[in-house]
Amino acid sequence: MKHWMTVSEISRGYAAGTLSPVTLTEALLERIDALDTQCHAFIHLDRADALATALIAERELRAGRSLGPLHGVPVGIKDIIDMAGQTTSCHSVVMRNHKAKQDAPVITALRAAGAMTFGKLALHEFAIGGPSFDLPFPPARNPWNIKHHPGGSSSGSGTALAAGFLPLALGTDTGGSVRHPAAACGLAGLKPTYNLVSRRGVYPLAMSLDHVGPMARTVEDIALLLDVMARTTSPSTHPRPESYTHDLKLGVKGLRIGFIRHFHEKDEVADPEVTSALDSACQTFRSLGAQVRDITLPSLKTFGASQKVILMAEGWAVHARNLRERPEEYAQMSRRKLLCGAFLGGGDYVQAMQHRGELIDAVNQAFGEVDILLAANSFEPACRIDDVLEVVRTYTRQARVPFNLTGHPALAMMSGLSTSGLPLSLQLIGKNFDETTVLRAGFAFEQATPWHTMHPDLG
Amino acid sequence: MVDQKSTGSLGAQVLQEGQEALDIQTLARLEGLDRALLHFPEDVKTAARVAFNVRATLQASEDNTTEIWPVMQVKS
Repeated sequence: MKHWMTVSEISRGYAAGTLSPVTLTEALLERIDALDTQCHAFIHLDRADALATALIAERELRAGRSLGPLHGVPVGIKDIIDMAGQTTSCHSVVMRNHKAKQDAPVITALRAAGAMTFGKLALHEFAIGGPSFDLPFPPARNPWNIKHHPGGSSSGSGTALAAGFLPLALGTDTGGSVRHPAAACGLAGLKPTYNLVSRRGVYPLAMSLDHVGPMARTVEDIALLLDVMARTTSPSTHPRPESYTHDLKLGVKGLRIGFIRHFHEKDEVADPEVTSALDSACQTFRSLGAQVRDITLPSLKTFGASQKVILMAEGWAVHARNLRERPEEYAQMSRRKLLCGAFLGGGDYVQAMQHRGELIDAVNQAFGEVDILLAANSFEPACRIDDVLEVVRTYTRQARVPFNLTGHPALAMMSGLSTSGLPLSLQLIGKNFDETTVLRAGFAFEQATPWHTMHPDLG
Repeated sequence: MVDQKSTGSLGAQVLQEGQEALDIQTLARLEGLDRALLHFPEDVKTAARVAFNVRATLQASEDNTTEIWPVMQVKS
């Protein structure tokens, strides 16, 4: 089925002449038409542009002028990233008149690689307030069970991938917003090392915590998308390999993995199914030849306090003017969260930033003993989208935040399926700019488990 | 029979909450949030309480001369 194809399968289809950008685009548009009325992944579907771009890609590929593995491959764009001439809504009324003058560098890089964009994807308002029902666009829903939320804030990206609307998508991650939808929707999602991918042209939530990251259904596709996204920064200051795919198949024999068990067993207690899936993942890595041992970091609460103060302070700085002049244009959830920074002082922010350095040192010290870290992602499967109290309770129960604070690369990937039929997820965390090892470990785990082959049944 | 002790502590709590609400209003006005206070007083109050709680959990660095991270960088 065309809608579950990976990037390499698409490329092979193009090369063999069994598939073309136009036929793929038509098939995906047909699926989106049939199913997005219940999933709400798209804020704006640009059908004409998708077909026109597909036609150009088809001509170029037929003429033998391939621009690389993403040529003719559709990529979904979270609607917080500027695309020239289009509104960057940030899923908000506040931004209704914000038409982007130019592409964000990450979009420029995608276009140069021949990727096709289909329009803009839903998110939590300003990447913080959701899922909300008091906004101009409905919240995206989880294709595994549309009564449940798809995670956020890159909710539309998660939904589009899990629903088989697109093979690739861009998300942003300030407190886990790539890895949360990856967890809820059973996907792979990478928060790269801070600054590996340019944030220019991406509406900020908290500048020193924001990351732009690739999302896909497989680790190999994450690597292929990251290859293009990383072209937005200089390799002299932001080291990267020729391709993140080169080492994927090297395996994990001898790799030292530190398991941060206390995050989900002591600092907070995760759902037993999450814990069980993590223990199984440790066994899988051991069976593949890795050395897995427990490792201790500062507590989740310690990481969380600094991250929250920084997020609140930086978020307030971005939104202060609008919150003073037109607070009624925000959803209640965003308004409540973004107003917090008004009640913090400059000293609080400085102390959080001082403490941040010490927490980075603690994680770097752990990397003196191990090559990568293994941690929980969400502490339970996605809850019902209309259960406000449960959404509020569970959104903060996760182990993603530490690595926004420290900047280390963190890959989310599916680790199991709950008895309720919803995805479970884990994280692999690497040394700064060592996405290669993280992806290699992720690929090995993926190949040894069935999870990436499972898809929701949307009818 | 009224429990004077619990009534007293309830009274103190009410007074304390009243004072907190006034403090929040003052801080919000200083930040220019009059419009938010007028239309969404509960949102302002909730945000302030969340911020106070987070501040209370923030662990300050033992060394107050520690550099912040990210550190200042010169622009070329």
